Amino acid sequence: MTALQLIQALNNVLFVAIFVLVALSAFRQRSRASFDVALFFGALAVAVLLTPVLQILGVGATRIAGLVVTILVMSLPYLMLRLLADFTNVPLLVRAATLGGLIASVVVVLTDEPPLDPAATLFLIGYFAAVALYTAFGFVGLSRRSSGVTQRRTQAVAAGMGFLGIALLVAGGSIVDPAVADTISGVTQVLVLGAALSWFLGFAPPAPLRRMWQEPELRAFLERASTLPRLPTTDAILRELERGTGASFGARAAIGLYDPVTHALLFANAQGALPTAVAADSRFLAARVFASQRAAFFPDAARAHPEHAATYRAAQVGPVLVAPITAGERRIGILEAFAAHRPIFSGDDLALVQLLADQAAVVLESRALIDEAGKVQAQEEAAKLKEDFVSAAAHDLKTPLTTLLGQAQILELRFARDPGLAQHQPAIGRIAREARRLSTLVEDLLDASRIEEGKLEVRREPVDLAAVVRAAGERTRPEKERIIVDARDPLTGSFDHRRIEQLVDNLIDNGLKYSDEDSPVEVRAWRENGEIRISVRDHGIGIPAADLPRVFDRFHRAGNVDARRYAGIGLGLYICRGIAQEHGGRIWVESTVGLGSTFHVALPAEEGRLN
Amino acid sequence: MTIALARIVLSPDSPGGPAGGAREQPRRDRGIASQRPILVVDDDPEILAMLRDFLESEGLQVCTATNGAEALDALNDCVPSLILLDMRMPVLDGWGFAERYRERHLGYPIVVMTAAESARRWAEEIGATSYIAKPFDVNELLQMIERHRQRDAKPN
Repeated sequence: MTALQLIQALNNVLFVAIFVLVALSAFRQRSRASFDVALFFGALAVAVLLTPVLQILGVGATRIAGLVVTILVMSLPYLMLRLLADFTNVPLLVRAATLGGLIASVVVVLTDEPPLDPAATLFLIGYFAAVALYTAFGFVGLSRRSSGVTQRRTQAVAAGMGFLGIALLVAGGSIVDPAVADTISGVTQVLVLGAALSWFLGFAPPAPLRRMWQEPELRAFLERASTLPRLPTTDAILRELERGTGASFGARAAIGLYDPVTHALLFANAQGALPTAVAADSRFLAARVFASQRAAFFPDAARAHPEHAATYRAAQVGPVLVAPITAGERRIGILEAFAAHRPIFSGDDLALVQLLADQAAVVLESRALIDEAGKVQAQEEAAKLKEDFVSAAAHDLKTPLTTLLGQAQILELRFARDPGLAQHQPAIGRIAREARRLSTLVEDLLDASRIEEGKLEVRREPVDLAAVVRAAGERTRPEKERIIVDARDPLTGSFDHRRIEQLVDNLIDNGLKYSDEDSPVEVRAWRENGEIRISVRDHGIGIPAADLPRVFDRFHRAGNVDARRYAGIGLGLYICRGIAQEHGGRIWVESTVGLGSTFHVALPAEEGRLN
Repeated sequence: MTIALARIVLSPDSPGGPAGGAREQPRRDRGIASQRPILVVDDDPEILAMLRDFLESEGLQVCTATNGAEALDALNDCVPSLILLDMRMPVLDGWGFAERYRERHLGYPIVVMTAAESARRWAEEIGATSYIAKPFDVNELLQMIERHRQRDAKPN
C-alpha cells in the first residue's frame, strides 16, 4: 500500500466516522439543523466512498456511479448554503437561485455525454464557485459579528471553506500538468479531509469542544461577577449579566425579574424580542420555567408556544434556553438565552445556562442585601439627622434663654425689693415664669432626644430616695399644699440624683396638672422585694384604657386630655420612662377614667454599685 | 414638668434706692464690698453684660473676659474669689484656659457654667469645684457664689 493509498483509506474511514456521528446526533435531536448537517456529511461521504466501495465490490467505475458522485458533489454548494441559512439569514432569492442552479447542474450532468462541452463545464464550475464563495463570505461575516462559541464555530466553518478553495485550486493543477496527477490527488484528499473536519467542528461540535470554546467567555464573566453587585443600579447589573450570558453562548440573553405585586416577570431589557412583562401563570416559555423551576431547552420557540409564533418569528427568536434564577427559597426570576437560528444551542447547554442563572442569583441576592443594608443605613441616618437637629436647635436656644430667664429673674428680684415698682411685679413675674417654662421645654426636648439616642447620661452616686421624695414635696409650688408625702425610712441606693429628682418632679407635676385644684396628690416611697418603689397617686381625670399602652410614648397625649386646658407636648412621661429604664428600673401606671391614676416606679436597690 | 430649679426667696431686707437697676445699693448683710471680685468668662456679650450688671447690683465686684486668653490676661490685674467659666469659647476654650491656669499655679475656685449636658463631666475634667447649667436660676447662682465665699472666708 502506497502512502497515497494510506491517506485515502484514512480519509475514507474519517468521512464515514463523521457521517455516523452527525447522523446519530440528528437522530437523537431531530432538528432542521442537525438534519442539514447529516445530509451534508452524507453527501460528502457517499461522494468520496462510492468509487472505492464499488472497486472493492469488483463492480468498477460505472457510468451511473460517476454520475451519482458528480451530482452529489454538485449538491454540496446547495447543502452548504442550507447550513449557512441555519446560522443566519439568507435571502430567499439567493436560496431560490441556488436551488435552480442545482437543478440545472443535475440536468446538465444527466443529459450531456462526457466529455462535457466547455460551456457546460464553465457553468458547473461557475455555479460551484459562486455559491461556495457566497457561503464562505457569509460565514466569515457571521464570525466577525458573533462572539463566544458561535464565533469559534463559524471560524471553523470558514476555515473549512478555505481548505475546500485550496483543494479546488490544487485539483486544477492536475489539468495543467497531468504528470503529477497522483500527488495532486493525494494533496486534494488531505485538503478535503481538512475541510470536512473543520466543518464537522463548526456544524456539529462535540459537547466537550463546545464547553472548551465557551470557557474563556464564561471564565471572564465569572471573574467579573463578584464585582457586579457593586454596580450603581440593578439595571446596570442586569445588563451586565445579560451581556455576560450572551457572550458565553454567542447569542442574546435577557433576565426577567419576578414582581410579586403584579405576579409577573418583568424584563427591563427585552431587546425588542420579548414582552416587557410576562404573567407568571401564562404559557410563555419564561413563565413555564419559572413555574416548574427547572431549566429547559426549546429548540424552536414558535413551535413550543404556537400562540405567539408570529411574535417570535418577527423578533427572530428561534431556539431558547431558559433557567430559573432562585436563591434558596426565594424565586428571583429567570434567565433566558435566545438566538435567531437553530444550531447555536443544544440540549448540552442546559447545565451552562443553569450555572449562569445560579451566578445571577448570587449577584442579584448580594445586590438586594446591599440595597437593604443601604436602606436601613439611610433610615438610621435620617433619624440621626432629625435627632441631631432637635438637639442642636434646643442647644442653640439655651444661650438666649440664659439671658432671657436670668434678666427676667433679676428684674423680678429688684421689683420685689422696690415698693415703688410693686405695680409691675405681676407682669415681670409672668415673664420670668414663662421664660422658666420655655427653658423647661427646651430641656425636655433635649432629654427626649438623648433618650431616643440612648445617650442619657446617668451618673450614679449614693442617694437617699426618701429624702429626694420629701424634698420634692417640700419644693415651692403654687400647689404645694396638695402634696402628701409618705417617705420616712431612708432608701439609699445608687442613682443619678438630678435625674431621679426630675423623675419624681415630673410625676408630681403630672398628678397636680390632671386633677382638681383641691384634690390631693399622694407620693409614697418604700422598699419592696429588693426594689425601691415610688408611687404618685392622683384623683384626677384618669387615662382611658385605650391610651394606657402608649401613655409613655413620645409625643403621645391621652384622648381625654383637652390640649387647650392642659399645656404640654407629651414628653414628660417619655422622659420618666427613659430615666427609670436607664437606671435599670420599670415604670407603669394604673388608672380609671374619672377616678385618677397611680404611677409606679420600681428601681433596683443594689447599694454600693457606684460608678 | 419641671427641671429642679432651686428657688430661694431672698427676703428684701434692704429697701434700696428709688432708682432700680445697677445703681441699687450693695446689700450690707453680706459684707462683701471689701472682698475680691468674681471673674466672669463667657463669649456671649449679653450673658456677660447681664451677669456684670446683676452681680454688681448685688454688691459684688466683677471682672469680665470673652474667652480663655482674655481671662488669663485679666488675671494679671484681677485677683478673683471665684471664676465663672463658660467652656465653649473661641480663641481659647475652657479646657485650654484651665490648662494654662494650672501651669500658673493659681488656685482660685472655678465654677463651670455651660449649656451642655456634660457640665458635670467637664467640670471634673478641668478640676473645677462646681458647675452650673445654663439657663440657670439667678437665685441658685447667688447661692452658689455665697457658698464659695463662705468657704473661702473660713480658712482666712
